[in-house]
Amino acid sequence: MAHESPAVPLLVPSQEFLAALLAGDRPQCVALTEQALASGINVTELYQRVYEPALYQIGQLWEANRISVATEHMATAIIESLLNQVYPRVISARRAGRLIVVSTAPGELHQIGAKMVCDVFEMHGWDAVYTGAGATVAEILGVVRAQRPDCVGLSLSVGFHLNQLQDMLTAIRAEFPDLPVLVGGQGLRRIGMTPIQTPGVHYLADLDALRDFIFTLTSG
Amino acid sequence: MTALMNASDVLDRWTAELASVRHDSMALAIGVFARDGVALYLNQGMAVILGGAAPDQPRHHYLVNPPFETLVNLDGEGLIFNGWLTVGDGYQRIHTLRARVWRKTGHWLIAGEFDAPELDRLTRELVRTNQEINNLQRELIRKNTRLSQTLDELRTTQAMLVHAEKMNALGQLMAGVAHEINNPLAFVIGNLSCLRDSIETVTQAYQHLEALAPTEPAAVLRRRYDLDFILEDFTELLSATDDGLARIRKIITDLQTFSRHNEAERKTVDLTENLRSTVALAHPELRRRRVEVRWALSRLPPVECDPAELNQVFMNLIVNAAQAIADGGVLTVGGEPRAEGGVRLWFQDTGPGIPPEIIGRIFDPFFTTKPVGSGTGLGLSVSYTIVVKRHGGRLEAASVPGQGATFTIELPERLP
Repeated sequence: MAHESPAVPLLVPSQEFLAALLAGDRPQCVALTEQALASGINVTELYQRVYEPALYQIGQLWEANRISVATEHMATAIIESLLNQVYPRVISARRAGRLIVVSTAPGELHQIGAKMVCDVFEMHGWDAVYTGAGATVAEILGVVRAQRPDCVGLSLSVGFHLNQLQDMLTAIRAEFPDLPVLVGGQGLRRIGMTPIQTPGVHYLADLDALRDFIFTLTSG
Repeated sequence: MTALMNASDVLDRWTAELASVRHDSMALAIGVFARDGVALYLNQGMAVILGGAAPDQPRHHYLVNPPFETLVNLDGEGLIFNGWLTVGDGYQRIHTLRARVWRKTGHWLIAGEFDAPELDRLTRELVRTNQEINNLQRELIRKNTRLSQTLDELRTTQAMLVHAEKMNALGQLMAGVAHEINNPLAFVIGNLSCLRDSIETVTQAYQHLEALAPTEPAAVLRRRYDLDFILEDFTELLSATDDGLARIRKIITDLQTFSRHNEAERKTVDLTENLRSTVALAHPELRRRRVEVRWALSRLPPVECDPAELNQVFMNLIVNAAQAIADGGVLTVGGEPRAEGGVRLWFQDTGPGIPPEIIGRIFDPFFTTKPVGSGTGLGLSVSYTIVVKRHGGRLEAASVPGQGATFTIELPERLP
C-alpha cells in the first residue's frame, strides 16, 4: 500500500469554504463569501476568519504533500479574485492623508498577505501603494523614494526569502533611518523576529496586531 | 564505495517496478495499436488522454495531429515519427505531447510525454499574468470607486449650491421687502408723531372752547358725537398704534439682520444680535409649537464671520428644535467666550432626543427623519458646511434619548 501523508490538523472553522477552494469551485467560494458578509462580519473579519485560515491550511496541505503546487496556485487565484470582489467595500471615503508602500519580500511571489495589509490600511483611510509581487530590492527602494510614504510594509510568506527580506530591511534603513517598517506573514509566523537584525522594524503577527499598529501610527 | 555499474545492469534489477511506473504513469502516454486503430495496450496515461478508452475500443481518432491514418501510412520500420502529437476530442480534452512512434511487425508503438519543465514554466507565467490582471482589476475598481465617490460629492455640492442659492434669493427677497416697507413705515411713524401732536393740540383747543362756552346745545352735540369717549380713546389708539409700528420696525430690523443683504460677506460682529433676531423671526414657529425660549448668553466677544450664513445655521437649529419639541417645551439658546478665543454657542431642546443609531448620520446630505416632502435633508448638512468648512469651526450634536438634544457650535475668532 502506498505511503499516506500524515493527517494535517485543521484550523479552519469554515471547512465548507476550504473544500470549495480545493475543488476549484469559485462560484461556491463567492457564495460563501457573500453569505459571510451578509451575516454581519466585516471585511477584516472575513480575511481573518475565512481567507487567512484557509490559505494557511492550503500551505500546510502543500507542505504535507497532500496537494500539488497547481492546486495551491488555483486556490490562491480564487482568493485573489475574491479580494477584488470585496475590494469596493474596502475603499474608505474618509481619507487619513497617510501613505504606505507595501511589497512582498524581494523575490517572494505570494502576494495575498501583502494585499490584505494594503486593504486594512485603506479601510483606515490610508492610501496604499502595492509594488506587485516579486519586486527586487532596487525596485522597492525606487517606489519608496518616489512615494515618500509614512510607512513601509513587507510580507514574507515563505521562509526561503528571509535573507532577501533582511537585505531589503538593511537597504531601507540605510536610506531612510526613521521610516517605520512593518513585517509580517506566514514566513515569519514560526520564527518570529529573532532573525531580523534591523532596528525599528515592527513584526505584526496578524491583522488584529496590524489594526492596533495603524491606530498607533494614525494617532501618533 | 560502490563500483560504478552499467545503467542497464542497474535497471535490470528494477524491471518490475519500472514496468509498474510505466503502466501507471499519467505523464507518459504509451499505447500499441493495430492498423485498424484497435489498441493492443494502453497505459493509464494513454487511456486517459484517449478519453478513458478500454483497450479493445478503437479511439485512434483521438490522435488529432498528426492523425492516426497519417502515422500508419508513414514508410519504414522502427522510429517513424518524432515530434509534437496533439491528442483529444477537440472540445474538453486537448493535450500536446512530445511523442515518438515506432512501427514493428504491423504494430505501432506510440509513446508521448508531457514536457513537465515547460508546463511548470507556463504555470508560473500564468500565475504571474493572473496576478497582474488581478492587480490591474483592483486598480480599476479603486478608480471606479473614487470616481463614484467624486460623483456623489459633486451631486451633494450641487444640491447644496442650489439650496444656498435659494436661501440667498430668499435673503434678497426679504431684504427687498424690508427695504420697501421701511420707507412708508418711516413716514407713517413720522406722520403719527405729527398726528399725536395735532390731536393733543386739538384736544386742548376743544377743552379751552368748552370752558369758554359751556352751553346746553354744545353738550347735546358732545353727546351725539360721543366726544368724551373719542377724546379718551385717542390716547389708547395712539399708544396701540405706536406698539404696532414698533413691532413692525423690529420685524423689519430682524429681517435686515437676518438677510444682511447689503453687508460685506465677512464681518467681525457680536453674534448676540444675530441670535436674538433669528429667534424673533422664528417666533411664529416657536409659538405654534408652544416653545419657551430661555437665554443663557454671556457677553460674547466679536468674531470674524459671514453673519448671513451663520443666521441661516441658527435658523436651521432653532426650527429643528421647535419641530423636535413638537408641542410644549423649552429651547435654551446659550453662548460664551472660548478660552482659546472665539465663541461657543449652543441650542438645547427638551424634545425626544436623537436615537443613537442615527446621530452619526444627521449631518449627511439628504438625511432626514421628517416625512417625505417636508424636509430636504439639507438643513444640517448645509449648517455643517457653513460652520466647519467655511468658518473653520465645529458643529456637534449630543443627545440622550428622552432627554432632548444639544447642538453646539464653536467658532474661532478669525476665519481660516
